[in-house]
Amino acid sequence: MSSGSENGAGREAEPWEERVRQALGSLPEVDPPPHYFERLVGHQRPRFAGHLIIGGALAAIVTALGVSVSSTRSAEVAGLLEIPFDASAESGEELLLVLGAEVDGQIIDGPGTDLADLVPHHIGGRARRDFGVEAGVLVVWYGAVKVEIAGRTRHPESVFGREVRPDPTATGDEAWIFDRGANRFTLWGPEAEVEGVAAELGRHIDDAGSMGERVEATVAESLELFGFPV
Amino acid sequence: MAAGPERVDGESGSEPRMSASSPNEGGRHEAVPTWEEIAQSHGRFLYTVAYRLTGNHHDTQDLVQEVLVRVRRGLANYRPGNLEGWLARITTNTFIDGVRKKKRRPTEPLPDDPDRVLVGGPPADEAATLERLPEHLQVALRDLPDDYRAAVVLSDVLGYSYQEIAEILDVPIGTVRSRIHRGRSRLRDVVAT
Repeated sequence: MSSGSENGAGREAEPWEERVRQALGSLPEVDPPPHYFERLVGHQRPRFAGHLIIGGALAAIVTALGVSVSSTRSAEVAGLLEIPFDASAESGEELLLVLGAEVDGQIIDGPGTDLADLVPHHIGGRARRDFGVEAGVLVVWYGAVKVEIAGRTRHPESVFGREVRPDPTATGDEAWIFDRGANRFTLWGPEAEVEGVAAELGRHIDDAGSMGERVEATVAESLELFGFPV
Repeated sequence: MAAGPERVDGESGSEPRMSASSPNEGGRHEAVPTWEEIAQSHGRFLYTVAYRLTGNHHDTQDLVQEVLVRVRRGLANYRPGNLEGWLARITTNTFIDGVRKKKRRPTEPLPDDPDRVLVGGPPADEAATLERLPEHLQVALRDLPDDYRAAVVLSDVLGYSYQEIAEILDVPIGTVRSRIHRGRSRLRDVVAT
């Protein structure tokens, strides 16, 4: 690697170019949020009292299939009108986010979607704005419609820090899982629930003629990545 | 250079300008680190490179996560050497892949609903960082076209040669020259002020 003002450009840099180069080269390092990497590698996994969050329009698919994935909040989830994020959710309750959809190659993350019946627009917007979550890239097919399973969760505190607070007394095998491969989505919850629900969802998606196996494989990889037994 | 999420960047890069201690520098340690060790020991380096490329903390964190997944996959083929060069290469390639993917899959952002916005302005952590940085320069860098920014960051932040950048970005060296020159040109007034 060459250095200096020329830097391989084949000519001497002009003074203004050199000033730009030096200014950029002198930019300081950037600090990640506190404990970001510790949390990332699992040393400080957030501990949630049994919450399971399934990112994305998978919630809509599951709802459309008539599958209850929430023991106590299926009505709200089925309605997809309001997700009562709060800190009082009991262990085993699931919180679902619907974040976006893709139709004809266009990711629709909000109002104006023709999928309004399937993916109410305001959920995506609310999730994005209030919880720092945006549409992800895990795509499944529901009939002729390609639907995003989202989960581009920024970081746990952006999801939970405002309206939902993790239970500091939570114990157990909470899992914090992400997948950043070809598919991506995020699950939080006790390990057993994550595995079980992922498999369950995979089966349901299979029933819809789509990509359940892929979902399960992704979950398994994520679990392995973060040191959980698969 | 093939693009796509399955690419594994196993090639060692050259020594970047920005430096943090590496367990492999100078051949002191031959053992291949784990991805967790890399996250701990080189996290700040990774984060900084990603931040210069993306310009915001949210996308930086997404990019870092993606990079660590690729690191984990790539460690099987990694030979101890210039770890930071390897990481910078993966980070840049992952960023470029993301840019290409976004171009293939355009997004339609939501208009803000004032009733639902809970927090105004940038996140606190981002604001704090900007206070410590030459804000105008970082903002100008962020506003560069993605292709220009990647080339400029590789050249002027990380100190790669044009030839190395051409290899990383998989474009002719003339294209690298052009992107860097045009990118710098757009930053010229910012630096002059």
